[in-house]
Amino acid sequence: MIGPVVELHDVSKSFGKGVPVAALSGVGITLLPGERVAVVGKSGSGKSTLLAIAGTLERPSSGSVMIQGQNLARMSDRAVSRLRAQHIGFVFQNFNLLQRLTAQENVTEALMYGRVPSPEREARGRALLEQFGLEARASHLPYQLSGGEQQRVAIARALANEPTLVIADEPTGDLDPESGAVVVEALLSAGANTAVLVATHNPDIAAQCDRQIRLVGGYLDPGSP
Amino acid sequence: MTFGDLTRRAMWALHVRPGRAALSALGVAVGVGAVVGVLGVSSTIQGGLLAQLNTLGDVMSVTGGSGSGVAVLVPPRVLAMVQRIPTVQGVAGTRTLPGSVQRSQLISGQSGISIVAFEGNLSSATGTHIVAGRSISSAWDLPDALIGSEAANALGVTRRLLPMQVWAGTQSVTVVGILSATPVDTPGDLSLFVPAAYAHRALGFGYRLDTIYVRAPVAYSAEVSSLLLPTIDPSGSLGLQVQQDSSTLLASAEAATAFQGLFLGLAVVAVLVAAIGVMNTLLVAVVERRAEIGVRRAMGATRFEIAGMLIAEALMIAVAGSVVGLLFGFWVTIGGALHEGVPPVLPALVALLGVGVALAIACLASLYPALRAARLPPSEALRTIV
Repeated sequence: MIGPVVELHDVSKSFGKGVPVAALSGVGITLLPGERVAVVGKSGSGKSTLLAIAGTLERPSSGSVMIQGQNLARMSDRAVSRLRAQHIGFVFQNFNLLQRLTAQENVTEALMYGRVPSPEREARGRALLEQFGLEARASHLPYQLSGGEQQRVAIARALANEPTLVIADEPTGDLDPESGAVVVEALLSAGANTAVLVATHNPDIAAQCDRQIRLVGGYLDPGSP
Repeated sequence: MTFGDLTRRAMWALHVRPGRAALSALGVAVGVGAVVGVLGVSSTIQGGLLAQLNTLGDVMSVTGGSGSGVAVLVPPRVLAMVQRIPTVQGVAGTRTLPGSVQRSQLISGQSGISIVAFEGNLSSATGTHIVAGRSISSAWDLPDALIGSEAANALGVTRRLLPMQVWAGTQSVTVVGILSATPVDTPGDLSLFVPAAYAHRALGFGYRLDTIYVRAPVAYSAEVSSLLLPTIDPSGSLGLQVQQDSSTLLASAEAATAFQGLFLGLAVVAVLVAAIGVMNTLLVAVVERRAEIGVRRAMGATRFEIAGMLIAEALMIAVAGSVVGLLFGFWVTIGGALHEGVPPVLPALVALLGVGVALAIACLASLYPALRAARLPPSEALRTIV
């Protein structure tokens, strides 16, 4: 049996010094390989913080995080960076493509951090763009692409190293419904063993996921599965 | 991330803002150019003087002790004794005779040009050569003479006028050759040299010398100098003293590098200013590229790789600046050498050291911005709007 991709146990996170503001309080979730899980809740409910902790971009103030069976608290920054490069892909609301690199270079950049040898990167980058219908846009810079195209490039980049976990924070937040639908389809097309954790306000996207987690004021809604 | 990946990304980052990178590199170029130029020009001038000194050898003169006012006279046979000192290249003795030299018998008074009888090989001993006319031996028993360069100028003796008659006191003599200027400032430049044999017969020269000139290679001059007095005056009763005339040249060579330390200090300040420029460029880059740093961290870049990216950019700036600075420094050195008419001395080791220091300083200057970039929390960096 394959173990969970991510396990959060009683995770809390506070920001600021003096009087800290609690963003998450005692949250525990488990993601299995291939699961599509939507994180829903109002703005400020802690969705992005939860995603940042699950994606190892933040460390919790308390509680434990297990990624691929490894305790995050016991890992060095270098080891966590390696883990992120090879096992976690990110899709952001504002795309976050590197503006001076072409669509293909944005994808191959992720392959470089994933330790893919230089000669292979070109071919794999091209194949990924082709998979998302962007082969004609390979040499275009981000500002030459539409929002939907940019987000598909970002998804191609997130999936480049065949990660076991994809973190998507409001991936359709800046897109029109039509482009958003294409992006969601692309996102959910991730490999069968890839877990997808997506934060969204869009009930249609949440409905397409296997289950939903609701956050209320930093706490997990007891009604969440 | 391989070395090639790092280099490509650094070049890409610099390519994005070429003006800023070029100005930073220019700062490094000025610093390195100043270091290489200062050392190159001073080494070239010093090298030229030392080469001249090595070619000529060190000229020493032995005279009576100062203060007595009376010339101490020694017999010409000491010349042969001095010549036997190993490494001595030339020996000659002179004696200043009464009277002065005039162009015409009708001119009265002192011209300031001495009549000097010479014994031995004058050119070889004083490091001069005949620039016009011909040479004569000290055994020449005819009223012929050689004239020093300054004396020739004073009397209007030129190549075209040779042989030319002048008056040595009451005797008419013919100038048959003009000597080159002595490498150091010696009285010989303002003298008319008549051969000892003729001086003995016509000018009352009693075969007693008041000055002995000795030339030896610079490397052996101290040794020769220490042997001169025991050879000429073993008892030490004459109170002779040795003067190293070439010390003037040596002093000039030292003077060429006297301000080297000061200028080098200023050049190092220029390199430091350039380093601050590089640091400033990178600090601005860190602020501007927060989002990029966040994205790269999210993609799996380690802190080391983020820091390495910025350090590589600083090194690229330093390398580009150093290459331009080296060319500039060499150009200044060659210009200085052409101006001085000496071969250029391009201080390769110093140049390499300058480049090494520039790279090291650029590396140090990039450390703080690099560490700032590396310590940026990825989630915080990602909150920056791209």
